[in-house]
Amino acid sequence: MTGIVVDRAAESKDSPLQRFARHFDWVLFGDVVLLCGIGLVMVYSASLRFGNPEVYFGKQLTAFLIGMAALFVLATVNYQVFSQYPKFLFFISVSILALVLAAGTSYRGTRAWFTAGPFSFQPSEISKLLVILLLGIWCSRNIKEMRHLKSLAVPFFIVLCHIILILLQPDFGSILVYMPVLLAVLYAAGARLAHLSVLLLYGLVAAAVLLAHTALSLSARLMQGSEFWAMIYHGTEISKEFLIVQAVLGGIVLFSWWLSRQLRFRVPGIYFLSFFLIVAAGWSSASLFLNSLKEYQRKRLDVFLMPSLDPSGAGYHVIQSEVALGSGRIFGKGLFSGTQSQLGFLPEQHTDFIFSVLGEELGFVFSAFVMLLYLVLLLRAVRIAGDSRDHFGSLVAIGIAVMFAFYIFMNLAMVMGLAPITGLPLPFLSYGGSAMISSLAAVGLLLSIHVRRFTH
Amino acid sequence: MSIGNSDFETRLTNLTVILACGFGLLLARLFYLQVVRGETLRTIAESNRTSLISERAPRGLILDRDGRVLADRRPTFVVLFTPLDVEREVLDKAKMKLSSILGFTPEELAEKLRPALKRASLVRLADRVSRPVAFALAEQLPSLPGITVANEMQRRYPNGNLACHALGYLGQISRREYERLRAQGYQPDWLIGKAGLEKVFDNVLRGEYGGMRMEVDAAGRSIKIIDRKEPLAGYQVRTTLDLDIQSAAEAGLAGAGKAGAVVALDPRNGDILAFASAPGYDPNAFVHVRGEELEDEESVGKIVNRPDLPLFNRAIQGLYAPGSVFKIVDAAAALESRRIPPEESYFCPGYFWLGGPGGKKFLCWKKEGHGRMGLKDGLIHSCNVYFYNMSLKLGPDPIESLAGKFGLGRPTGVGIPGEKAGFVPGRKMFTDGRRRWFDGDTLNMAIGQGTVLFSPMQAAQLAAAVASRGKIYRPNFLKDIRNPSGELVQRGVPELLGQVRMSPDTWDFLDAALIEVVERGTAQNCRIPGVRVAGKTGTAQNPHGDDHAWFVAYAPAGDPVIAVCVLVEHGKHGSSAAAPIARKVLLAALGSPESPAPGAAPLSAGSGEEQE
Repeated sequence: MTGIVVDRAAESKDSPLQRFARHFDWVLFGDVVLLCGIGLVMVYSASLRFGNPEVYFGKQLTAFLIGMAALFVLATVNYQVFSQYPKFLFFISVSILALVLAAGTSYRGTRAWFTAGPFSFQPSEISKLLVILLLGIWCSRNIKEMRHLKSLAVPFFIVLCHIILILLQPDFGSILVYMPVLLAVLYAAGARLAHLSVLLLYGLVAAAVLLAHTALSLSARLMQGSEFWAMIYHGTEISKEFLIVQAVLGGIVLFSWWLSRQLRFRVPGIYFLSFFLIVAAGWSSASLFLNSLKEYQRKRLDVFLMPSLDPSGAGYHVIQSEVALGSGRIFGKGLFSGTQSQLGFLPEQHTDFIFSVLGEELGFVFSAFVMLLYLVLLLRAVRIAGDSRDHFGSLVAIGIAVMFAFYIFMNLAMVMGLAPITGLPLPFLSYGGSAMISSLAAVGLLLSIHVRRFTH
Repeated sequence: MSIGNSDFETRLTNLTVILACGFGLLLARLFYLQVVRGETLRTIAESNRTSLISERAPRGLILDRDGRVLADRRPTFVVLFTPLDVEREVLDKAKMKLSSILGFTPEELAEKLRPALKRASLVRLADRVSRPVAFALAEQLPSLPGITVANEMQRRYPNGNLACHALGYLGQISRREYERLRAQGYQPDWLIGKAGLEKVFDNVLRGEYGGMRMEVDAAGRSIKIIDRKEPLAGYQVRTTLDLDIQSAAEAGLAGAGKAGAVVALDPRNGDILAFASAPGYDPNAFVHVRGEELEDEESVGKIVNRPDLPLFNRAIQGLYAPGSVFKIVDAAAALESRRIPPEESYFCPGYFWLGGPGGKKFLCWKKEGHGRMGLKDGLIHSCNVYFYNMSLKLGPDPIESLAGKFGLGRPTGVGIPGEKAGFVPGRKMFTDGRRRWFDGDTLNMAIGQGTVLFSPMQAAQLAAAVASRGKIYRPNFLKDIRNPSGELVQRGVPELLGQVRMSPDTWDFLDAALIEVVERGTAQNCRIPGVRVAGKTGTAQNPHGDDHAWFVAYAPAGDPVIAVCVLVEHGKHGSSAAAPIARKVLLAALGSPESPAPGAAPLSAGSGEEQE
């Protein structure tokens, strides 16, 4: 505490710029710049085999510079200004997603990009940050009410709007991040675990129904042989069977309630009712969603949920990725000398599988170092959340931290063969301008929250 | 939730712990992949990026004892296919051209191309392509994407059928062979020796395959050559065969026009001088060159399916009753027993009546009878009745035991695979008590009928043993092995398997009697003026048709350099069918002109008197 007092005494004499520099989170900034630098080199290496690495490098460098500009602007601007216009932010976020559906360009069946000349931009990357800001605004304003279940409705609605709009593109990978971010922000804002588990259950049921539908639609033999599975399959869509399945489900819950009463367990009936309602809600939203899918979107969903359907074989990709990482051993094969990467055995090596290139060419020592840089990033973000002077800053920092954590975990687990292939990029390393800019902008927000931690 | 709010701090700590655990897990996985499994995965990555193109080594030469070529090689072409990213239309057109030039059906071609297109790896589309076909391909090369025509040395047998059963043939390595030989560096698409010397010496003949290690990308495209190993030609194997003797033997058999076998040995060391089995086959058919028609269109399929079984190696796999050839053993056993005086004679009326259980009439081959015969005359004229009487007196055991000493009833140990053991009967046959040895069995055994079975190789070894006075050598094919630069690697060594010990008188008697067989007995067809030839005919009864004709001989008696056995299936009489062939072989070996050498006749006549 005395240190802070001394600091404050010194502060008054300094110019604003000096103060800014003193309170600036140099560790976080340096950490991120280092990651971006490594990322640029790896993108260059990974795109060598495409014949025009300077193009990839140049585009990524441009994105980095734009991102740095965004970072500095956001770090300088007081983040609190965002908290004053929640409706405006929501309008922007939703409308760019709607606009991209109307006027965006398609790539591989997904309408997710705005294109202008050689540049293209993915609006869902901006929406992601806007959603974090929106969640932060709403939860900080209602921080006292967060223990009530009904307070969760608005954050849930915000996220649901975005998820639906992104599903229409359809970009299944991009919606994944919303759930952990929502849960983490609500958790940090003080929501009760029981209430969060309601959300979690809802999400799990919806995901399970989607997965079951896809799996069943691919195993015709199982369905032909069994009325039960055929019934479940048809029940995953809005249909006569859907009602039957829901009725059976309701019957099971009712029976359990009756049974628990008979066994003298004092469980209030409301629990059974809400359980049934949550499951039914999750199921219905999944079914509604399935019914609204067009044929090509359904195909994309199939491939997303069952990567083994991919003709080139997702299993093959994971194995090649593990081989690439492992063959780097402790010190790597040398920069630009990876055989798995330079001979094209890795899929999407400049984007999703960039860490495999890094691991192959630079080995365990360096990959572990890069993982350490990521850990520093996340710990700084959590620390910034703890140091923030207001709830809004804390919650936004938590949202950003969890967003980064989710991407990093999912991507690293994927390239190491621990998670399914979801196509999530690795922040700061993967090639991709939109993600680079939005990541740096997110860091700018963190820095802004950090630098203003003492200003009341 | 102001700063310092303990609930918020707890929740932050919880989040941090979750993060740290996740990172710990990922780091552990990274360590496992890169450090624990790094070596394994590095190997996989290496095999990912490299593709081996093996280059076959020229197979070593096989020579006769004087260095004349039995098997050499010649340049042919191979057609390789590297899958490239070609449009389907172009590929389809190329496929049509390929199938018309190479003579594959579209289905065959599709089958051959399948692994290439599926795994994007290089395949050998066709081995052994003739020059015209290769040139036709070369002309069309611009419109045949991915096709390469390369040069490769290919096995050739310049003499066609000659010595085919000794040489053997080549064939694609089978799955089972590959499993067994993989450790020695064999690859799945290799040609290996499947029979004969090609098989026995495959290890030295094959040489060291060379090859290129190519760096390939994920689509299988070759990026660059990593390294290259020149193939090393196989070692040269000099056999003990003598091209002249071999040719004479095969010409003789061909002249007889029947199936049969000739084996000629050097009685001084067991060297195999000739090794022939008729009918033969052209081993070139097994390395058929695409686009070259073989003479009389002999294809592997035809060879395998011919009813006269050309692949059957009669010299070591054919078993025949030796007939009167076995009387050599009888006579030796009689003399060694000291119980049968050579002068003791029996009257031959043309048959022999055996009384007692199993008794019946046993015939001599000469219906009108030989008259009174002693041991020597009995042997010279091959009188069955003498041997019936003598063997009854002697009993079967001494004969069986001596036959065993001569190595009969066991494989001779000649190196090439598939040799049959033959059979010598005896009382030991009936141990289960259901049947016992009858005198009739003794009679049949004495004249080499019934269950006695020799392979031509065994008969030749018997002749060689008599010629060398008891030395049983392992029949040997190998003279020496030299590496491509001519340095001696291995020398064939005579191996004495055993020694039949009999009194000099017995040997002298056999020599003299067998000479007289040729001079005035059953084998006069084999007389060579100026050379003392010792021999014995045989006629093996055969329930399936005409009798098989045998003749064994060695020359020159006293200082023999060659022992020969001739078998002609269904040749009826050893004297008429087999002996003339043996004569040709002996002439080729001894280099004697057809006309009598000066001073030779008296020598021959004199020796006859000497032996009396």
